[in-house]
Amino acid sequence: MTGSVVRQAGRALRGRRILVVEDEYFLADELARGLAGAEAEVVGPIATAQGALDLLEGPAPPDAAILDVNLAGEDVYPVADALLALGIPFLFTTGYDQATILGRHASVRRLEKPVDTATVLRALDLILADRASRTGAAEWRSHGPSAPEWGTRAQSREFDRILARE
Amino acid sequence: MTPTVLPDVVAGLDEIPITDALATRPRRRPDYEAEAQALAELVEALAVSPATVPQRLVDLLVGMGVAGSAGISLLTSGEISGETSGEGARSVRGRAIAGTWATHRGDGVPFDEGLPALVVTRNTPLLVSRPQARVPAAPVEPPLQELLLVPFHAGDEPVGTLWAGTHDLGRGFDGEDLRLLTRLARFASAACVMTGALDEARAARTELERRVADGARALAEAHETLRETEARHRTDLEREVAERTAELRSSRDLVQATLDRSADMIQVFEAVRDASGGIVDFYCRLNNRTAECRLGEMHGQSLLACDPGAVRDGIFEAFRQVVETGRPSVTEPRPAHEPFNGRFHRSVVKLGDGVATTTREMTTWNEAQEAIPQAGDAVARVRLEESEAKYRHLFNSIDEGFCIVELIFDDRQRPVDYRFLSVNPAFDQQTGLGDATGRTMRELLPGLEANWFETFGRIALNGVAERFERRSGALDRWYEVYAFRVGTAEQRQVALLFKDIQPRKSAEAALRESEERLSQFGEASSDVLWMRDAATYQWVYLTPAFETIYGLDRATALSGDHMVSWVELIVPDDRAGAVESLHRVRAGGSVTFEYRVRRPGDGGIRWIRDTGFPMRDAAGAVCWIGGVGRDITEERETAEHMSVLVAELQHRTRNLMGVVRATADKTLRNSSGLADFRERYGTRLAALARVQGLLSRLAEGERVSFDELIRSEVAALDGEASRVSLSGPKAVALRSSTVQIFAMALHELATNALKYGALAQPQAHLEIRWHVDAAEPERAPWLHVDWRERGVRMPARDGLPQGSGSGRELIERALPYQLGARTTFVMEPDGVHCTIALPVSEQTIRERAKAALRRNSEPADPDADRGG
Repeated sequence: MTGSVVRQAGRALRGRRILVVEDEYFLADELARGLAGAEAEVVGPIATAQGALDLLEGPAPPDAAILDVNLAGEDVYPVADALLALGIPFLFTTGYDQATILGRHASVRRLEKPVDTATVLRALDLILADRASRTGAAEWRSHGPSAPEWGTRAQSREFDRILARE
Repeated sequence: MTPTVLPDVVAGLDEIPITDALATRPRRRPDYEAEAQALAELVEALAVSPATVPQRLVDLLVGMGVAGSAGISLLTSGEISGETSGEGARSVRGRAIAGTWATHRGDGVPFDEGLPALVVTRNTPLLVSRPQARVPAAPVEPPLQELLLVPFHAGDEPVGTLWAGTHDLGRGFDGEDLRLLTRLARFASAACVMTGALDEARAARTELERRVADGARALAEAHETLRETEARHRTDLEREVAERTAELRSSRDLVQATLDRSADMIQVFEAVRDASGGIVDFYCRLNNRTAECRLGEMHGQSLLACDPGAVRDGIFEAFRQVVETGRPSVTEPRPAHEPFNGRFHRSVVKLGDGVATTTREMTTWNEAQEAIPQAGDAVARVRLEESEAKYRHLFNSIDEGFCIVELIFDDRQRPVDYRFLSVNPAFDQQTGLGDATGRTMRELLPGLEANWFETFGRIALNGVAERFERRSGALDRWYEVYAFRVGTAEQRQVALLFKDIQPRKSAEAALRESEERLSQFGEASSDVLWMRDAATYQWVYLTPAFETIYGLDRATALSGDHMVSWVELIVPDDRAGAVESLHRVRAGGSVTFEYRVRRPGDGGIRWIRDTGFPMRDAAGAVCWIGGVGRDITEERETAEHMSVLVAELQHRTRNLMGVVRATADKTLRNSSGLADFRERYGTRLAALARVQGLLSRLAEGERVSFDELIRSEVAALDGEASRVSLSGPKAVALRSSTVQIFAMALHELATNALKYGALAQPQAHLEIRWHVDAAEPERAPWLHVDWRERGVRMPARDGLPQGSGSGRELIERALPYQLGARTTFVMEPDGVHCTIALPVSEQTIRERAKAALRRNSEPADPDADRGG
C-alpha cells in the first residue's frame, strides 16, 4: 500500500462516512487507517452486528459500509439487511468461499481476505460513484422502476474489469 | 271467211254451236268418186295391214285436199290431270299424222291433249279457229287457221279424234267436210277395232304358246329332279347297306373278340335230337378262345365226341335239363379227367334249342384266395421284425440304462430280489454292474437297499408305472427311474428306464452350499442386501441388516405391499427420486441413489445409499432387481462436518494472514530500525505460531484452557520462567475465537516484562493470578486475570522507555474491541499491574469432556463454536 494508490483511489471517498464492521482488531485498525488516509470519515470500526446496527440508528447514517461476513461466529447479515433497506451500498469481506454467502446477498460484491487496503478503497469508490449516478437518475426518473440489483451486477462487472487490470 | 262463233278460249268451247256454225257455211259438193277411191284404198289397207289404216286415212285426207294437215290422236282411257279441262286429262297413246305437220309426227301437236279430250268427253265434233292461239303450247309452224275434230270410236266408245286442219286463210271447213270426216272416222274406227281384235288374238296365241313352253319346261325340270332324287336315294341306300354291313361285321367281330377276350370259357351248343325228338347229343356252335385253349377246338363238333366224360360228369344231363326246362343251371363241377380236371364254376342257360355255357376255371383263383392270408401274415411278420429292429436299436443306443427284470418273491409273497432278463449296453455304465443278464440283483450287489425291491414288486403286481428319484447307498449314486410293468401280473416282469443323476445332484448340492455360503455373507453384512421382483417390485430377499438400518423388523416390512411400505419409510422429499431410481434399474441400468428414511421406532433420520442393479434371466430379460443398501448417515455427517471444518480453516487462515500483515505494518511503524523490527516481529510471529499450535492440536469440541495458554507463553521466556508465579484454576476453557488475540496480548505483556519489567531485573518477579467469576448464573462466566509485576525498579517517568506501546494498545484497545474484555493497565511504583476480565466458555474443560462423551452418540454438535 502506498500513499499514491490511496490518493488516486480515494477521490470519491473524501469526506464520506464509511461504516467498518470487522471483528478482528488488527484488520479493523488497518482499514480504518486506510480510510482515514483517503480522507474518509470512519464510522466504527465495530466488531459486532448489534454494535453496527446501533450505529445505523444514529443521526448520521454512513454513505457506504464494509462488512466482515463472520463476526466471531456471528453472521453479519442483519447489518446487510438493514443497509439494503436504507439504500446504503456496501461490500463484504470474507475468509469463506463465495458459496457461503447467503442467497439474498449473493450478488453483493465481496472481497476475499486477506484484503488489500487499496482494493477496498477502489471498491468503495466505485459503489459510491455508482450510487451517485443512480441517485442522479432517480431525480428525473422518479417514477421509473427501481433496480437495486442492477447496480450490484454492473458493479460486479466493473470490479472484474478493474481487478483484471491489476 | 272468218268463223264467227268460235270463242277465244278453250274453256268456252262449251258454248259454241259447232253444227250451227258449219250449217251456216255454204257446203261444197260432195266428191263421191274421190270418196269411193279413198274407201277402196282403206279397205285394201285394212285387208293387208290393218295397223296401217289410220295413217293411210290421214294421208288420204291430205291427198284429197280436204286438209293441209290431218291426224288421229288416240287417248288413254284414264284421267291424268285436270289442268287443261275440268273433265280430266287423257294422254295420247297413239297417233297418226300427215300433211304439212307430218314432220311433227314424233313431237305431237299443240292441241293433242286438250282438244281431243274435249271431243272424246263430249262425243261431238268440234270446230276451232286458230287453235294454237288458244292452247298454251309452243307454236307449231305453219299455224292452223281452222281445226275440225270428230270423235274416233272403238266400238261404241269414243277413244280419240280424227282431226283436220287448214293452213290457208281462205279455206274454211263446211258441212261436207264434217260429213266426210265423220264417215271416214267411222271406217277407221272399224279398222281399229279389227286391229285390236287381231292383236288380242295374236296375244292370246302367244300366251298359249308361252304356257305350253312353260309347261314343257316344268315337266322337264320335274323329270330331272325326279331322276336326281332317285339317284341320291339309291346312293344313300347303297351307303346305308354298306354301313349296316360293316356294323354287323364289326358287331360280330366285337362279340367274338369279347368272347375271346373273356377269361371264361364260353360255348354255345345246339341240341341234337333223334327221330323221336329226344336229345342225344349237343353240337358245338361256338367256342371262344379261352375254351379253345383250355378244351381244344370243339367248333362244329359233337359234345360227346369231344368230351367222352360229359355223360359221366353230368354235363350232358345238365345241358339237356336246361334245354327242356328252360331253367339256368349253376354248378361247380370238379371233373377229374384230362383236359377237364380242375375246379370250375359253370353256368348254363337255354339258348334257342340248345344252351350257352360260361365256365370259369376256379383252380387259380382259389389258390390265390388261399395265398392272401399267408401273404398278410408275411407282411405282418416283416413289420414286426422292423419294429423289433427299431426297438432294439433304441434299446442299444440310448444313454439311459434300460433293463427288464423278473421279480422274485419269497414264500410270503414279499419281493426280495429280481433277475435281469435283458439289459442294454448303457446299463453297465449307469450301474457299474457288468454281465448282469441272467443274474439276480442280490448276486451282483448283495447290499442293495430293500426299498428298491419293494417298489419294483409293487409295480409288478399292480401294473402302475412309477417315476421317482432315489439314491442308492450300495451303488453310491442318485438315480432317476421310470419303471413300468411288462406283460401280465403273473409274469412279474418290470422294465426299468433309469439314469444316473449323481452329477446333477452334486451340482445341485454344490449350488445349495454356495447359496448358503452367500446367504451367510448376506446375513453377516452390515449392508442391506436385497432383491426385488422386477415385475411387482416386491422384495424376494432381504438381509437382517435391514432391521438395524431401517429400525423395522423384516416381518413387518414384508407384510402387505413391500414397495408401498418401503416408500412410506422414505422421507417425502426423497421418495420420487428413490422410486425413479428403481424404475431405471428395472429398465436395465445400474443406479446408485441416496435417500433418507425415518426409522419408525425412534423417528431418527438415516441416510441410505442404495446401489441397484438388474438381474437377468437366461433370455436377458430383467427379472429381478438386486441391491446393496448402506447406512451412510455418519459418512454424510462426517463429510458435512469436514466441509465446515475446511471452510473454518480457510477462514482462520485468511484472517491470520490479514493479522500477520497488519502486525507487520504496525511493528514497522513502531520500530526504530530494521534490526528492531526483525526482533519484535520475530517474537510476535512466534507467539502467533504458538497459539496456532495450541489451536490446531485441539480435538473436536475441545478448548484451549487458560493455564495452557499462559504456561505456553511463559515457557517461551527462555529460562526466566522461574521468576514467574502462576496461581489459578486449571481447565478454564477459553473460547477458541478469543485465544489468538488473547495470546498476543499476553505475549506483549511478557515481552515488555522481559525487556523492561519484572523479568528484566533479577530482584523482581511476576505474579499471574486468575479466577473464574460465576457469581451471576444467568450470564456467561468471566475469567479474571491479574498480571502483577513486583519489585521492579521503575525508571523515571519521562526518561525510560515503557515499551513500544503495543502491549498497552492490545490490552486497552484490542481486547475490549475484539473480546468485549474489561481491562486495566497501570504502571505501579514497583511494576506493571494489568487486569483482564473476559467472558469464557460456560463449561470447564472437564465438563466439556464429559459432555463430549455423551454427545458421541449424537449426529452433530449444534454447540460447535466457531472461531472469528
